[in-house]
Amino acid sequence: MATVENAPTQDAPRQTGATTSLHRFANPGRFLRLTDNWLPWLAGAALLVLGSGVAWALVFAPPDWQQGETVRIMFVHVPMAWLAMGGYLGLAILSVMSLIWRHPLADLSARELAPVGAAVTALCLITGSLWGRPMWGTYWVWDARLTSVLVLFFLWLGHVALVRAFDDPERGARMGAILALVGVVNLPIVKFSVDWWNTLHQPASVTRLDTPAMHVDILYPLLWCTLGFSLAFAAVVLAATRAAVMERRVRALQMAAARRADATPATLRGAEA
Amino acid sequence: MNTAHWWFIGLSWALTLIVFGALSVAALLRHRNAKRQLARLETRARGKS
Repeated sequence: MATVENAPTQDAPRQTGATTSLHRFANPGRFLRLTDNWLPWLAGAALLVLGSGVAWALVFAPPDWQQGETVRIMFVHVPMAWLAMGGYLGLAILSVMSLIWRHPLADLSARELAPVGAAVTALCLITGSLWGRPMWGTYWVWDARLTSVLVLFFLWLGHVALVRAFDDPERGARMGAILALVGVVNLPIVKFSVDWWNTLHQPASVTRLDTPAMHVDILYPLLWCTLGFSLAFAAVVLAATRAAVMERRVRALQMAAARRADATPATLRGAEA
Repeated sequence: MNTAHWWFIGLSWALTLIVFGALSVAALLRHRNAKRQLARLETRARGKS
C-alpha cells in the first residue's frame, strides 16, 4: 500500500514501478533505519560462515590428486576473482542508477565500493601469483587472463582516484560512473580470455555449462568460502556506505550550525555568552 | 609432501584474512565514529530548536 512518504511529489519525474521501489532507498534516513537492522546479521553471518569455511578449506578438505595441498590457495583465490568481477558489475549497476536516475545513494555506494573492490582484485592477483609459483614455476606471465585482471585492478584504482579528484563531489561521481561503464567491456574479456586465447591459466572449471570439473569434496568448501567472503564483502561495503551517509549528514548539520552562528547578531551573541 | 608449498598456502590465507580484517575494522571504526558524532550533533540541534 502506498504511503504518503512513498508517494511521488509534483516535482518528481514520473517513475515506473521498478524505479519507484529503488527510490524508496534514496531517502538516507530510511536507508539508515533499514540497514541498521541488517548490518549486525550480515556481519554475524559472515563471521560464522568464514570461520567454518577456514576450517573446512584448511583442515577437512582433501588435497588434490595433482596439486596436493596447494589446492587450498584456490579457496581464497577463486572467491576473490568472483568478487572482483561481481563487485565491478555492481559498480556498473550503481553507475547506471547514478547517471540515469540520479539516485543519491548510488554515488555514495559506488564511492565506498571501489576501494573494497580494488582490495579484493589485488588479493586475487597476489594469491594467483602465490599459487602460480609452485604450480607453473613462475609468479607472473603476461597471458590474457592475468593481464585482463590486472586491467580490472587498474579500473578499480582509476575509479577510486577519479571520484576523489574533483572539488565538486557530484562531478567526480559522474566521471567515476562513466569510467565504470566504459570498463564493463573488460568483464567478458576477463571471463572468456581463457577460451579466446591460449593461456597458462586454466580454463573455467566451476562455471562450465555442462558440469563442474571438480569433485564435490573440493567444490562444496569452495562455494562455502565464496559465500563467507561475499557476506564479509557486503558487510564492509554496507558499513562504509552507512558511515558515508552519516558523515554527509554531520557535515550538513555543522554547516547549518555555522550559518546560524554567522546570522546571529553580535549583540545577541554577547548576550548569549 | 612438499612442505615449501605451505608457505604459499599460509601466505595467501594470511594476506586475505588480514586485508579483510583490516577493511572490516576500518569500516566498523568509521561507522561508530560517524554514528556517535551524528547523535551528538542531532541532540544539540534538537536542543536549539
